[in-house]
Amino acid sequence: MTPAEQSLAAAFRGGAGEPAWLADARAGALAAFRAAGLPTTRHEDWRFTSLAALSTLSLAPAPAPDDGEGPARALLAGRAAPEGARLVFENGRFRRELSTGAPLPAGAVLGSLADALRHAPEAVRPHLGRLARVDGLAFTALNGALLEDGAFLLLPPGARVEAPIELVFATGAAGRAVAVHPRVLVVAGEGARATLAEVHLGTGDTYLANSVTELVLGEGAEVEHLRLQDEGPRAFHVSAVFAEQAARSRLTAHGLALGGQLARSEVRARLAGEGAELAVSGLYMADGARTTDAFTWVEHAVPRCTTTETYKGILDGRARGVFAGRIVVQPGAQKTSARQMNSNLLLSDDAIVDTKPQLEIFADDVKCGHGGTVGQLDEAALFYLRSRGVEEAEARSLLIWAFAAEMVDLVRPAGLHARARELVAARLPAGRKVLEAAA
Amino acid sequence: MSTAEQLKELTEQKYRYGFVTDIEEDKVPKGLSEDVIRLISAKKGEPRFMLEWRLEAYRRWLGMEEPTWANVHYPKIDYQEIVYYSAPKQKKALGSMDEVDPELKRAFAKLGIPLEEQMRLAGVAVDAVFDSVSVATTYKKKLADLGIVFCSFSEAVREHPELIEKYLGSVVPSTDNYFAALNSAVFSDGSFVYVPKGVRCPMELSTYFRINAKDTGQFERTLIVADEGAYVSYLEGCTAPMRDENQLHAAVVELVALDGAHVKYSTVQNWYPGDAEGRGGIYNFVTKRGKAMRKAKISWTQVETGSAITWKYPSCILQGDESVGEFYSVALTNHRQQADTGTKMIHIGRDTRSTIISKGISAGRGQNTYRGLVKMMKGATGARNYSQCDSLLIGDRCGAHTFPYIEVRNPTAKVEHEATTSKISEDQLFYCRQRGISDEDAVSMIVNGFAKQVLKELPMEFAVEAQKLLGMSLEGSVG
Amino acid sequence: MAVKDDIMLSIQGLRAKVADREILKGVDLEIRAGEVHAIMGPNGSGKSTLAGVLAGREAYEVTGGTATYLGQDLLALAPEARAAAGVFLGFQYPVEIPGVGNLYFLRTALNAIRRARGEDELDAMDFLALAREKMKLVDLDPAFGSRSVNEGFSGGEKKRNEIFQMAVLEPRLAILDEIDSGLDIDALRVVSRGVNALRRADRAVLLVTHYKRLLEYVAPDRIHVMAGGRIVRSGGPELADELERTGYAWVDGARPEVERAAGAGALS
Repeated sequence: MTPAEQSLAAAFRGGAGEPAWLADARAGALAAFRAAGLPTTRHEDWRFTSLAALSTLSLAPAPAPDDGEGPARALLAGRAAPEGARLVFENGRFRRELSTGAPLPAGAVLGSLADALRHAPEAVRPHLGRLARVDGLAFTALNGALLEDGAFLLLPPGARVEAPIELVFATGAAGRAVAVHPRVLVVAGEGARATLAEVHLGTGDTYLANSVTELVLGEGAEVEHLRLQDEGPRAFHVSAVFAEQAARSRLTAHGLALGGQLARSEVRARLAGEGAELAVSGLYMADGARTTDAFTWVEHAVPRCTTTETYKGILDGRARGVFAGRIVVQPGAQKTSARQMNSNLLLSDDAIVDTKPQLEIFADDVKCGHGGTVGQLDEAALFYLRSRGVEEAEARSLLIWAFAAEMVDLVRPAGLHARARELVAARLPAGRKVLEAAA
Repeated sequence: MSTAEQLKELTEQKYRYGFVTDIEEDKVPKGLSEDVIRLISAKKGEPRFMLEWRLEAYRRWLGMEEPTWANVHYPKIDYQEIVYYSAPKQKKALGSMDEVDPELKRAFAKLGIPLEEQMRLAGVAVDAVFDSVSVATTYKKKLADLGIVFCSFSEAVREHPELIEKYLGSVVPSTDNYFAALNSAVFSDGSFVYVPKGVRCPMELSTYFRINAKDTGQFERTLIVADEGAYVSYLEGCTAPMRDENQLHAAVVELVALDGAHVKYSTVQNWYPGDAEGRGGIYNFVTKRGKAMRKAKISWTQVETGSAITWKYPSCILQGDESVGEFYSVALTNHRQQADTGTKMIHIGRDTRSTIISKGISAGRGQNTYRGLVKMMKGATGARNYSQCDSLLIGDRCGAHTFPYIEVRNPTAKVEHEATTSKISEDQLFYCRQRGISDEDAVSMIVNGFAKQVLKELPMEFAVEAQKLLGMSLEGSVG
Repeated sequence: MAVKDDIMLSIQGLRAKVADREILKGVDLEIRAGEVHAIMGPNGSGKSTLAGVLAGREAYEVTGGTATYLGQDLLALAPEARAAAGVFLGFQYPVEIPGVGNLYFLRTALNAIRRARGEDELDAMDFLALAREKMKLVDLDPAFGSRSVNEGFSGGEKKRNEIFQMAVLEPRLAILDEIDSGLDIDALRVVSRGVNALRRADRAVLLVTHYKRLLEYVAPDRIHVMAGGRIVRSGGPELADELERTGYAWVDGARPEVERAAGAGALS
């Protein structure tokens, strides 16, 4: 076992004081983690993303909030007030005093998962860990074994939350490498609707943020799930979103992966009811020697579902961008419509892109296509702009912005959209000017 | 098997090439060991370096693991149950076509390649490989006048050992992969082509491979070297008799295109695919790779309709600046066939270019996987790739899978990949039938239309055969 | 059964449904050799369904009635057998077949039909000569011969291609389903000229159309109005003028609001 595996497994405390089903689930998850071990590049799904730097770390459980001033307050400083509810999690644990409430429709529940497990475990039980399978998925198993807290959103049939719900995860501890394993569970009943945004922030310290999100969409439910990941340059970020969609439900899963020394974002969705629609997308940006990895797995299990998938990557410095997307159309899933596209921009001589868009189709009456491109900024366009007097840095920024803007604009809630624009622009050589021009 | 049975088999089965030829064979015992390899090498009268090369490959193979792939399933192969050398017994060396065993010639005629006919009419030089040993090479003299060497591999080892020693394994190292290592250890024969500097080979060179003997694995090896500025077009066609057992075919093909040379390699693969229930058929595990030096070009064109399992990725190492790689493929799987095929384009030199056009057709319970790699290495400044992979599905029990890998290490390189999946629409079928064309002919026509972009890359004689094959291979897939 | 005088097609009580919805609810129609009939009617009246049923489109299920063509049971034949027997359907939406050459397709069709009739196949040269001659009929550029069937053709080109195919296949009964839809006036003239050139004493033509416009160029002997899955009126050419004045609003089962919109379209 590597030091990381050892230290992570050693953090296991069993399920003392918890319901038996939860304690059993934890034990099972730990066994699954031990069996799998942290993935290496020999693992097909991790072929291009090396965890060598992580595996040498000794990772401690995060300190309890009363250990002193945590990172959340500083990381939230200067941020605009949220448009709706905001739940803040510091090193994986809910901080009520930093959070903001908002009115909810009758019967809806939004709060800390730990609270829900304590006070209403039977509401959580049918769903927790049902989608986030632990076999062969080391990080998900680890989360299942060690999860302490996170968010729980329960929407009864027909409940609609109009304002976006913000979940802020602030992570990091000075002087020691910590590991946190937040869990988000969303259960949207028939016809329910909500927008949920996970905002992942961190200090400049080394840590592992290993989050798992489970989205259960009932018939006709509409959920928009956003992820803004903007962590520090030493962070290891691994997140996995598991979704299951009933008939005619609509899920938008969109993420901006902007920070971390290693960022891996997984989306695993199962279209389980006829007429379900999934839009899955993301923008990943990396420079320096950072690695960013977008992984998606979409399963069409029944007829007449639609997937549109678009991922874009911008890689600079010695960064490595990885995309692996697979769409599986199961036998009988006729009239499936699936489009998958991955485009990448390489901005430097040493940046690397590895992409594998994949279609696996076991039904015949389907419309499926995918595409992948890798290239650099269009020299002709660059020259055109410069010949019109735009200086090079600005011209480059404008073209990068043009490439990225579609992904930024998919962050629809106004406050988060403004924030996303700032974050992306900040990573361009003349981003400020571009923002002014695009305003 | 009695003649009556043979006739019955011939008439009742869909596989047209499924007859067995009774020819006395010279076999080594089943199984694989260093002794078997020494025996093969000795039987062929090989020089020392060949034996050493084989033994080295064998030792490395012992330490290798047989690969596994998703969507490709087959029972474990027992490598000790295979006969590694089988040659038709012949009294003496052959001086001309007239001396070829008439039984053999009839076998070739049944395959649709009457040698004399082809010699006269098509201007095709045929190097026929029957089981593992080349028995007849036509047009040799005409080619020799241009300095072109076109002969069996064994002959090349004897007559041109310096070329063999220089180029053998230079593109596909003996330890490249499990099946390539196995081939390197035990290959019994194959073809060798050398085209000297600046020479344009005036005719298509062609080899027909055929697995005849029972329990015989076929391990042929092809090496084609086009010297600077040379051009050669090479055709490979494959058929095998029908048997209930599976047979292994683990070939290696190496192409070397030196500066400014162009090698075009076309395959129509129609090995026995097994019956409708998936019994029997060839396991076709083949390693094909070409290396292109400066301004050289390597073109692979393949039509794959046969074999129970096909596993092959004809690849191009674009070593030299401005070299070009092309891959045009049609793979058809019907009944329970499985194909896992594609290409690897490794761009090393500056301004290298590659094109991939892959058309997969799945019918019945066939599984068709495109698996490809486009790799732009650090030095591949200005390199370009365009890939298009289309799948056509016929029936709802088959599968079509597209797994491209794109790895880019140079920002000026440009890679584009596109893939689509579709079925033959009811509207298309009805339109054809309303014009008087039967269901099966309509499907065959639509499939050929789908594959046209690839078929047009084939030399004329092959294109016609390939079109017929596509239609034939789909029999029983409609309705 | 003997052919009753020169009746080519006799349809009696024909009913058909698609996906459990009955569309044809008892159609009666007789067409004689040499005649041109037009079936008009509002959208959804069953015109195109009738054309499809006669050609053997499998999505339609015949639930009752008969269609007798030259003394044989048309409905019992496979689509390709109907084609061999001389039934041609000009498609409202001609289908694209990528990679299959237009002339190659047509030669395959012609030879399949000739084989079915026990005639010799045409060789490539004879066919080419025939095709060249027939292309002139609808001003089709010879370049269309080598392009893929209907792929990238404009609406007008597709329709001209249909008439070209008809000219080569020389059917006894041509059913032209909205051959006029999507055509500008010049294209309509060309297509009509082609149809008129193919009128013959031993050939019948059934025009399915929404608008009277086509009938100004191809004069019909009889006009039938279809509504609600039945033929509700039949008459001479003068019926077209009446329809022009009143629209389809008066016919059973038609939805007036739809028809006014459609009528407006016809005038523009």
